[in-house]
Amino acid sequence: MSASEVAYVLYLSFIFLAKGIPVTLAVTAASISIGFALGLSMAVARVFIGFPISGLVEAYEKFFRGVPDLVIIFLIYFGLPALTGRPIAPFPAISLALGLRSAAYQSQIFRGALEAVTRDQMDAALSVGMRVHQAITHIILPQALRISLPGWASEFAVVIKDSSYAFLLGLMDLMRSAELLRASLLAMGLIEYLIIPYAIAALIYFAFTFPISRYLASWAVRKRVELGL
Amino acid sequence: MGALEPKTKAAIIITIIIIGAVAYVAGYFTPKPGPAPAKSLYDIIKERGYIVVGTSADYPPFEYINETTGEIVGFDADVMNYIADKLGVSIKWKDIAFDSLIPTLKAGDIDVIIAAMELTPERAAELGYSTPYYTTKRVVVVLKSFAQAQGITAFESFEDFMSFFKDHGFKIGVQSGTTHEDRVMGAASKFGFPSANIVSYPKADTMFMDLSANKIQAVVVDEATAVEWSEQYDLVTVYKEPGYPLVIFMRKGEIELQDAINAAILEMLAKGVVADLAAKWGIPPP
Amino acid sequence: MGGMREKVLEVVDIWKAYGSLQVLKGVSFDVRESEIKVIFGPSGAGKSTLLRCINMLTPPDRGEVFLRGESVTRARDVHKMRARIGMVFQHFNLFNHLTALDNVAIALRVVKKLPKAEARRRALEALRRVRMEEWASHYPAQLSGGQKQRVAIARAIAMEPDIILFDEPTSALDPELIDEVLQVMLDLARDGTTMLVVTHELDFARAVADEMMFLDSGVIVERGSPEQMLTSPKSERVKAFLRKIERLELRRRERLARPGV
Repeated sequence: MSASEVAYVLYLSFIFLAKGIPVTLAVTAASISIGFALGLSMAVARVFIGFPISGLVEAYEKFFRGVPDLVIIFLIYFGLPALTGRPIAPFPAISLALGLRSAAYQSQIFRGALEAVTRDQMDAALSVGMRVHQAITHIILPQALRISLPGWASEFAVVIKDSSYAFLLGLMDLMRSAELLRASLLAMGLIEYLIIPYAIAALIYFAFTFPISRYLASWAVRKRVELGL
Repeated sequence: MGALEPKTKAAIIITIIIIGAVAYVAGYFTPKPGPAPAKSLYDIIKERGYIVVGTSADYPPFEYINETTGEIVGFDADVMNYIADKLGVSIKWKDIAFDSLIPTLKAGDIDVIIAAMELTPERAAELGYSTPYYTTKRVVVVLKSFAQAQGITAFESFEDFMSFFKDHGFKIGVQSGTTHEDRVMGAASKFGFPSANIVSYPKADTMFMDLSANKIQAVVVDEATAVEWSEQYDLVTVYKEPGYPLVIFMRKGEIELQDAINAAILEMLAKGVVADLAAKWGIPPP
Repeated sequence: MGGMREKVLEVVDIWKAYGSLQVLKGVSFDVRESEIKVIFGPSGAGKSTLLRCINMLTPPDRGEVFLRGESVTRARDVHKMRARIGMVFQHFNLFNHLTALDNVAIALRVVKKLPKAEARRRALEALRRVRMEEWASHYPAQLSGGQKQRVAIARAIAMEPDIILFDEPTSALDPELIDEVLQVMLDLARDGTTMLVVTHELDFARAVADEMMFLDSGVIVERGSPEQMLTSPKSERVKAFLRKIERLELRRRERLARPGV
């Protein structure tokens, strides 16, 4: 163990791991987008259409919240090809799996927010002549989205962390680049430092999630108080 | 309306991203166009000028990343370079987690796999493969101090090893997902060896750390891995048996490609190139 | 009150029940151009329900509503009809995420499809009429109750409706804030706006109402001019109700006179 060795390993860590960041961000972006689109639609359907859609949505939520993320990922990656007879590449597989899972949580968040926007707002919107879809788009959703920001911010952090499963499917994300570095360190005989790549990866994940949970959430709460929502 | 404009723009951008993500994923569910093209993979590769090779660059000395150049290097890398040379094409390497190599090959994202991957009966049933370019040996490895204390030099058979360990209540470590794990589990069920004493590790380094800390008393790995780790710990091999051969995998039916690769491998073996590479990378001769 | 002026609103025999509770039992009346009619009566009598039936927020079980001769209850496009009926709510119901200006302008953009600049201009004009133009870029959370209600009124008048319905517009306001809203309503009356107002503010009724209707247990028990209704009502129920209102009014004036109570 020497200081120069540690420094070298740290230097290598940043070089290797930096390569993994774009994929991690891409998986996160794709997953949270799918979760957003699907989750918001389910929430709106549940609040504004009701029976029989709400039964289906509730079942969906219960399933994806009750099954471990890893199981969902493997179900999609290995199970879907078995069903359709067509293989699925890792990136769509993990984005879809994490997206479906995130949709279940985002649906809950948006539903709570939509219900918090009172019936009175809808009445007022209708009374000036808006159609229901206009009322939803211009009046209900903007307020609901602001209300859901804190909850949504935590979900975002969860998805970033879950994106680390991507390495299992073979994607060169942050975790995978950490593994490759460890292999190289092993080849160089530097086994005392094998933990460092994981430690640096943890720091990088933290660097992504911390600002979001701290600043986005508190900004969101402040905005809500300002608007009296 | 000032209050809406920037938000409308943001909403549009977000909508586009969402549609893009969903469309990309959905693209994998639309039916693939028509029947297979008349060209064989071999022709395509020759025309393209490169072959897409999948490997898992986390396994020195077979494949790992050179920290200064960032390239994939190792025994397998050199073998593949020779073959590609013979084929007259360059290599596009794709690093993929080991367990995902075969699904990725089936999906068509890579042309071949070289990853110190053994030719097991299950894999032989699903995939096409080359003639073997190397054969591994399976070894049982213990700490030198442990061997001395127990008075062991070598076991006659795998069964001897298992029963000795069962009698003494010792623990065996294996890396999960390996053929070695299957070997140990299979023998264990025949013996009534307690499964609690078989410890599976996702990573080799934790396994060897536990071995050196005497949390487990033996590990079952391939010889090359044992050699790699012997540089760090004081280890000794107490049993050796032949393992499965290592081959290059491809999709079933790619006869031309298979023939070309086989020709290259046979030439390598005949000319002693493989033996030289083995020496270079510090693995036992083939 | 002119038999010559056009009927803006015609309410014909409205019935509405919630479950087994019959809230409205055959209510009929009309409102002509520039008339101001006041509905008053005990709580739970169905006054809010009546207004909600008129603009079809809550469709009636039986009966019809006509706006300048066109059916509202059987309209093919009820939204178009609603755009011509303004509504001011007891709890203001301003859009919390929008500024005062946007609250007024949004319907002009979304419903009337006016271009941004034109919508802003008309919105600002409406705010001017309620004396809130300086607060155009403030959010509802930053406004007092009286200010919020005035913005709500601006929101209604910006659409240039045929009639404006007021559902107890001052009931949720602190006493000091009531007058600013009533003043705006008086201004509207003076400008010839057709108004249907549910309220307990009898002074307001006395000042501008063309007719007052007493709604109790789902029926219009008595109707007449403010002088008739307030000084010499025929029905006992009206008399009892008026007495109760006066007592409340007295207590309110006492509280205003003694600040800090």
